Amino acid sequence: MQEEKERMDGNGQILIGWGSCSITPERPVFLAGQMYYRISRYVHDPITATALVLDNGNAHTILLSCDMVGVSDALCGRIRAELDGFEGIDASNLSVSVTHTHNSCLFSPDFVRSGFEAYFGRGISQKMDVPGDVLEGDEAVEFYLSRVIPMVRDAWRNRKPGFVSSAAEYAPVGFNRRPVFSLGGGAEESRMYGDCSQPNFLRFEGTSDHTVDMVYTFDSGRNLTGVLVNVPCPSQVFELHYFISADYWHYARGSIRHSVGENVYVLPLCGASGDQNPLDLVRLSKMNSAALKDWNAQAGEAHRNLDMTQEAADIGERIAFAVARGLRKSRSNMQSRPVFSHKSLMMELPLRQVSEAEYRASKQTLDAHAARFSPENRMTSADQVAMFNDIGVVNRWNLQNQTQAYRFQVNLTRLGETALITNPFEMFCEYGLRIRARAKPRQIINAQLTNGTGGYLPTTAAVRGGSYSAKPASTKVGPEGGDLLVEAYIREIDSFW
Amino acid sequence: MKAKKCSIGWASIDITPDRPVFVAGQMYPRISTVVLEPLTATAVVFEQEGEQFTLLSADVVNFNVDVIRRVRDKLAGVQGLDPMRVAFCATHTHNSMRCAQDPHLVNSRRFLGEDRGIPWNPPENILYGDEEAEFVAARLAVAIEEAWVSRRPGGIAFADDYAAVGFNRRPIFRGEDGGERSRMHGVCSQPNFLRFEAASDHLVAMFYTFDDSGALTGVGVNVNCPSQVFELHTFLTSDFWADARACIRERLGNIRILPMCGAAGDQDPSDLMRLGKYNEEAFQRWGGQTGEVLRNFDMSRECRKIGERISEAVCRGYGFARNHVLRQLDFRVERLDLSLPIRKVTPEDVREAQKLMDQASEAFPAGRPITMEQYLQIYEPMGVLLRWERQNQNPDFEFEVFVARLANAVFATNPFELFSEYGIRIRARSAADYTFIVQLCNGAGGYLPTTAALSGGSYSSKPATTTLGPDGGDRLVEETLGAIGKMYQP
Repeated sequence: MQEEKERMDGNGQILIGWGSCSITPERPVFLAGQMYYRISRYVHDPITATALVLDNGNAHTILLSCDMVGVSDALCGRIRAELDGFEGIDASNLSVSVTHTHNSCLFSPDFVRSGFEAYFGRGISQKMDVPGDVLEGDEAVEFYLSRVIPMVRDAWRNRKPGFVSSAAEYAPVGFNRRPVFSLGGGAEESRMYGDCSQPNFLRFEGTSDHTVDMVYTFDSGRNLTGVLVNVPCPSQVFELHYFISADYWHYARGSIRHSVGENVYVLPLCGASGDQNPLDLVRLSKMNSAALKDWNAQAGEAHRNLDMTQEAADIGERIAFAVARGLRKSRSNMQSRPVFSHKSLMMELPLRQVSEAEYRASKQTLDAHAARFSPENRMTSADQVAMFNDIGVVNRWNLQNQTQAYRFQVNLTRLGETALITNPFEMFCEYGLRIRARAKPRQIINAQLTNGTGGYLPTTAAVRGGSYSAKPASTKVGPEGGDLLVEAYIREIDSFW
Repeated sequence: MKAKKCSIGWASIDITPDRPVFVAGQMYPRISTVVLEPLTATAVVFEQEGEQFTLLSADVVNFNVDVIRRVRDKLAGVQGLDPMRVAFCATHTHNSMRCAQDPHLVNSRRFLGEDRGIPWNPPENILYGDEEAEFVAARLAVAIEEAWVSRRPGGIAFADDYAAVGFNRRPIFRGEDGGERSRMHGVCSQPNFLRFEAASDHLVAMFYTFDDSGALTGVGVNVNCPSQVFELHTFLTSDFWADARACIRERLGNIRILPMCGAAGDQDPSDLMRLGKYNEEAFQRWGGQTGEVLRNFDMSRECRKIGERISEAVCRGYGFARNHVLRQLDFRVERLDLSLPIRKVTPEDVREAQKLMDQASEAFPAGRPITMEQYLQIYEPMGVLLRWERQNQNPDFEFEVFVARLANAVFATNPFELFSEYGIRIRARSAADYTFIVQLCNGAGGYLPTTAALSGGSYSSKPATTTLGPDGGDRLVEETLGAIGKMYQP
């Protein structure tokens, strides 16, 4: 490898390395992504991690995508510590992304669960029946690292000269999940997962982005070796249930491999889609009026009247069609020496703040609520969920008295005419569209939920409309921060062009 | 309702003129110079125990009521066929005929005088006006009659899938005053671009027909996007439907294909996000409507890619549909004569419009045709004056709507360029599993904009281009849903 690297330094030949591994635990785990507790009961399909290494001797980038709901700062730190300096890896160039499946493990403490327990104390919080063999805490982290670190190292070690190519296509996958309803008298409100079959349904709060961006890699014989696929939609068709699954990406990987090659690596990224989900509420609401209420209540598992497997398989097919269409164009556009550069930077945005009056009101509500419970009369899941927003306000008040800023890492890579930029948010679609429309490159891959969990990044319309994903409890940065981010990202991207 | 066996008939016909025509769909006059792709019309007939519904789709920009009347007159003698049970819909290609006089030519002359109207110098052999309407009506009548007489017992199945075809064409920008403005075909690469005014609907609803032996005979495809990739030029083409038809037939054989345009008044097949940054100047001139604009993208390739995406959806849907074929239907057809209040202008609007018209008229040189730049100055005020006249003659817009139930699917037509929001509302609340919303059907009612569009402004939201306002849109939604609901009552 050293010989190869020296040889390539002078001419900018791109070296490509791939790796993939299962991160499916063999013991029960806490499933992350809902407010009610879930412990996995079985494996529906495996959860995996996939790494892509790109290196031209002068710069390198490592993309790691995992079938997880989020990646904590702490876990990112551990991964970096394990990889930094390994045979020349600069771990600041590593981007850890997630597909946002809600049927996986965080391999870190669950922020919702720890939030309830931290606020109310274990004495009155919901009592859980946790099996003795559950994989959690440090043991879960070590399990994850034991799978992922060797895989990434192998991908780095095995990087070889090859070709890259990119394409943009379309696949309808994400749908806006914040319908707007009339309240009468001209008043309106947004409701996440609202029932669109209601007579007062008006429209959706924002648009969707059905662009799918791909980067294809080829070996020196011009054989396809892998594809990076950026879909602006989280992988959460199943989401409510008690099994482990990569969700629609399991099916998409299968369909892609069936279509373009069984041994092709597939690295999924999630584009800006904080207000998107893979279920079309226009089509599905009318059969799920009651289920949508249960789903929103978050008090426990809700059973929806839709064939989830068929939905996920259909999505997989649509993605695979887009990947195959893009590949046809890509084959005539391969580059072995693309312009390639990488930059890691820390950014800072203003923390979304709450007022003292909001804090006091929430504190009063929480105190009154907590007073109703005792170790003999503990909270149910519903009792806890009802306090989610108020806990968020109190926590925000405490945080904003310590810091006014949210800091996060951003990785920016130029690969030919493609810019790949990361963010840690569930970024509402509008911001992604603005960046893509205005920045110079032909193709911009904006990978959200990368290198940390910044919460939802909502728009002005969302804050006005209300509901989950727009309030302080689920957001760290507000619309003014979103506007600043857009300008900063465009500036940084354009500086590479 | 007792289920009986269904008969289905199909026919297609070429409606490409062999003489130059006035190409409809832009303000600036275009005379066709060449045929890029043929223009076609396709009819499907459903009949079961005395109930019948015929749907005709043609590669035209819209259907005015005069052409429909001509076709119905020609069909009057066809045994058993009820011409009043025929729905006529357009793909909205902007590279085809209008089959009527061009309103821009007519109105510019009416308001400014014969000598100052928009100039056009048609060739002697142009097919225009009555002659053109008769040419098209005769062809359409032949197709409908043929579909009717060829009907045979068959089966039908429904499916829906997704294909990204329509994109919102009304981006919103921050104004210098801090306010927000929509701009049709605005340049999204501008620093003050904020978002799109509304969502797109990428659902594709499809029906598949089968003969008695179970072989696929045709497919109806409801795409929420007008067929107008090329639109600015002087050739004739069915636009992306030419490629969609070819791609579907490559995959499913030489079947009939009937395109229907869903609610898509604010949609366009060109993704402004992707294309804006290479077409800043072109998009601005496009909005200017002063003449042909050459845009910096491969239009044929765009059409081909759209065709591919539609055909993929049709194929995926076919995988489901072929296992769900119905040969006996709950079949019910309702033809409604709706009357909704037209969007009104105020006396103050009229005074302001008249003032602008007077100023413009004074400024334009006498005895010389106006330029398109000059026409654009008077277009909106002229729309206000025309609306004032119309609302004083009849405060309501009367139009024909079909609601046809075929088993668990329903077809609901309207004559508008219906903004996507209304279609989404109808589909979300419809009692049917599959809802085909067919816009630009049985008339040309103009754009039907939303409240947000009125606030945002720009073309497609003002009186000159709209007959109804958002109140009318709300009413249309409720009337349509009411009629659909009745279809599903026992």
